[in-house]
Amino acid sequence: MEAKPVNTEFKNEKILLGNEAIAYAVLASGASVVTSYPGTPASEILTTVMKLVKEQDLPVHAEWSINEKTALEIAFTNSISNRRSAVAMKQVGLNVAADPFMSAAYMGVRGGLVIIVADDPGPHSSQTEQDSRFFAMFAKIPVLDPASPEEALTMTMAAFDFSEKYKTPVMVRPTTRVCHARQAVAVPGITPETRPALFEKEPHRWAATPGPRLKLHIELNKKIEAITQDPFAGVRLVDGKDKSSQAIVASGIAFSYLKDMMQNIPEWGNLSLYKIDMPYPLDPDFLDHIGRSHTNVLVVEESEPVIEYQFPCRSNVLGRIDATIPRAGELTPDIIAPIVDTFLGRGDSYPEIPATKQRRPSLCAGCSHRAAFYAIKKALPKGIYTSDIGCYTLGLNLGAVDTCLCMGAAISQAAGFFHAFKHEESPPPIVATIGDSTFFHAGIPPSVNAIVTGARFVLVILDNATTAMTGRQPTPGTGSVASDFNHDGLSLEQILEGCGIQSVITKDPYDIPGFIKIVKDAYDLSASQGVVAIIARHPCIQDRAMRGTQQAFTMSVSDDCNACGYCVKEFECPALVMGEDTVVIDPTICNGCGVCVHVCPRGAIEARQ
Amino acid sequence: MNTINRGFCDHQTTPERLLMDINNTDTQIFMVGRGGQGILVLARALSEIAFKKGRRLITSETHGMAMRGGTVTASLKIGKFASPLIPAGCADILIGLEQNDARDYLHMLKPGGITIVNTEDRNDFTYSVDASGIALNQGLKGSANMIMLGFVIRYINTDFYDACAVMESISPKRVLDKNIKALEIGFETASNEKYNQSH
Repeated sequence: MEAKPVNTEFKNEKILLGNEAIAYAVLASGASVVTSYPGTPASEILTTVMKLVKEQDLPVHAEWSINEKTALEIAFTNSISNRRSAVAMKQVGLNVAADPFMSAAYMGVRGGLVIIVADDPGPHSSQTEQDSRFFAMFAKIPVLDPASPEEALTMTMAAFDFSEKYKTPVMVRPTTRVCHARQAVAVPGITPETRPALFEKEPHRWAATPGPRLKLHIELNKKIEAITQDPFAGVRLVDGKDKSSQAIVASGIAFSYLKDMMQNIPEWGNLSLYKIDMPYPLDPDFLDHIGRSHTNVLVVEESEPVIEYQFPCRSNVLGRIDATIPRAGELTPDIIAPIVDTFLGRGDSYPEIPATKQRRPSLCAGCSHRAAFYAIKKALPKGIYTSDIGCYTLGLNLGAVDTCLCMGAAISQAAGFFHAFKHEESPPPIVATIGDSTFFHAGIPPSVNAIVTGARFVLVILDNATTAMTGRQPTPGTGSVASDFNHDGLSLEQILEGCGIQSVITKDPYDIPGFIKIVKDAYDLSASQGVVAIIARHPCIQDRAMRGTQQAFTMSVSDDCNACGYCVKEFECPALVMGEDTVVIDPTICNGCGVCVHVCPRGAIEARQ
Repeated sequence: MNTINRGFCDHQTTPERLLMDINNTDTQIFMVGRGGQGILVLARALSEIAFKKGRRLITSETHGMAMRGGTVTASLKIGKFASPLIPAGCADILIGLEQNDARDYLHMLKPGGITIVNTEDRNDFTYSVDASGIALNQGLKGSANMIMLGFVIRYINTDFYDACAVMESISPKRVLDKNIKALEIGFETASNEKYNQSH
């Protein structure tokens, strides 16, 4: 596929974040259903879709789905109704959506279905560095690897046509440095889809039992083979001659790094640079041709050796498999430059880059999660604390988070610890903490499971009425998750009771002494009731409208402070700083929540109205 | 100053270039600070200012968990660049919203590159601005980033009103007045003689 050249005369140019560019592409391609669950680095895609749908009053159903599995199933179903659809998620979101993803490949689509999966090499804000292109290969779904915001836009638009041509879902796989780069992009006009919904009943496809599934698999293999011969899937020689001895094959953001370097280092002119737009499926014959045409081939890709593994013969191919390129961590120009230099035999010496002292992230000053965590520690100091994915993972800074596996696991791990320890003489108290959005996403099935299997623990839902970490998207609890439907939000209390939990207690954790008491009470109650739930309810401090209504105290530290450091260590508020003789409150950070008054053992922190 | 020549950027820095002309010169600006200080708004504003002048550009931002008080960096590359990341030793300007973070990333600067840092101490940076202190005294808590922006635009051949127009287009209405006031204070601070130190 040739990326369209930049039209400099295009008047309607805007600086867009990669994710915003994808959102424009999705709507300009006529998608009528767009779904997502928030997750860095993909969150801004649906935020932008929602904004454009509202601004331009488009007949598009956009929704923050309860989780990625549901999001994909809804988008897929719109596609088999002959309409264009898109779904966006972060890479670990695809783990959640793996079930429909694998089956959708077999069944195929009618209207174009573009599955945008944003990878996070680094990782900057994720549990894993997994490469979703492998997932695409696993499912036999073609995948495109954009190198810039501009290309994210053109590739996403092309992906819809390609999806319809081969009746297959197509994955677009941007990485963090594409999602969160800004660039001037020619903004396409948005024309809403006018195709009517059309579902042709074909039970051997849409409701296939194992027998017909085999036929679908054979059909899928034929599709993939045909795609390898499509000019759209071509590998492009962008620089150098195909007779030069050294070649680099690159895709995605790694290609952009190489392109800049080649402009600045003339000696690199002897090199052939190939760009791959579609890392899967690749034509094995063409890869073989590249291998035979050059003495050595270096493959540079983010973040696993997906292209590299597809070379039929790797005897002269270097990359991640032989660890020429590091096997973990994000690629950067600084990492690639010395590797390419060595590959070319230049042997320039590159000074080492000093390691930077990355400041650790921490819960905001005034965050109600901090108050809840502090109270949980005080109430049950010998507990095992299972937790989950969200801002509140940062409760580990306070020593109030012992585990964080994946979405929803706080609850299943709490049950797991219960069963592991239940025959011990004095089993530890177990407290699970999980955010409101994460509870809706994957916390309900393990809650039901815990009740019916006799697990005993305290379940604390940290309800700040938003999906905070990813930029404050709505949740099923707040309502307003769909572009074309108003719902006031579901009650967490009712859902927890519906899961079979007998006691559900709601409390604002800002009241630390009161919260400590209910955690202790809940633990006592769990001996007879199994799971006891507490809803720690206080809006997110990042919500400025809410902050305006919350009382802000003027905080000070009195002479009674003996600089013991207890508050700094145990409460870990970024506004509490160790000074020379006393703890100091940094007024540029403090939000005046007043909670730390309860923390100082000497009562030296004072709040004035 | 700790700088590294890694071979893939222009290292010819003449005294005239200390005042970067983003209208005509390829310029790489590296920004660093603590999550919550507004690095991303600063980067966004500078990129829109350059775009208004008809320049090609590409930026990179840190989103996600680091925004909760962790180290946040942003890069702005003005000129025909394909990659959003600035290689070490190639930044023309380093803007620090926090001095320890700024010190930690000095290796990003090219030899003779300019450092403009929010700090109450006068020290080895090219320009030290007590933006947080000024913001607190002026009742503009949280706007240190805009004071820094006002200061920076003095040195990159940018008209104050162009910057105001950009802020009008990207600021939420409720903070627009506050942002413009902070921008103005930063701009005036830059003309104050005591800050015009150079090394």
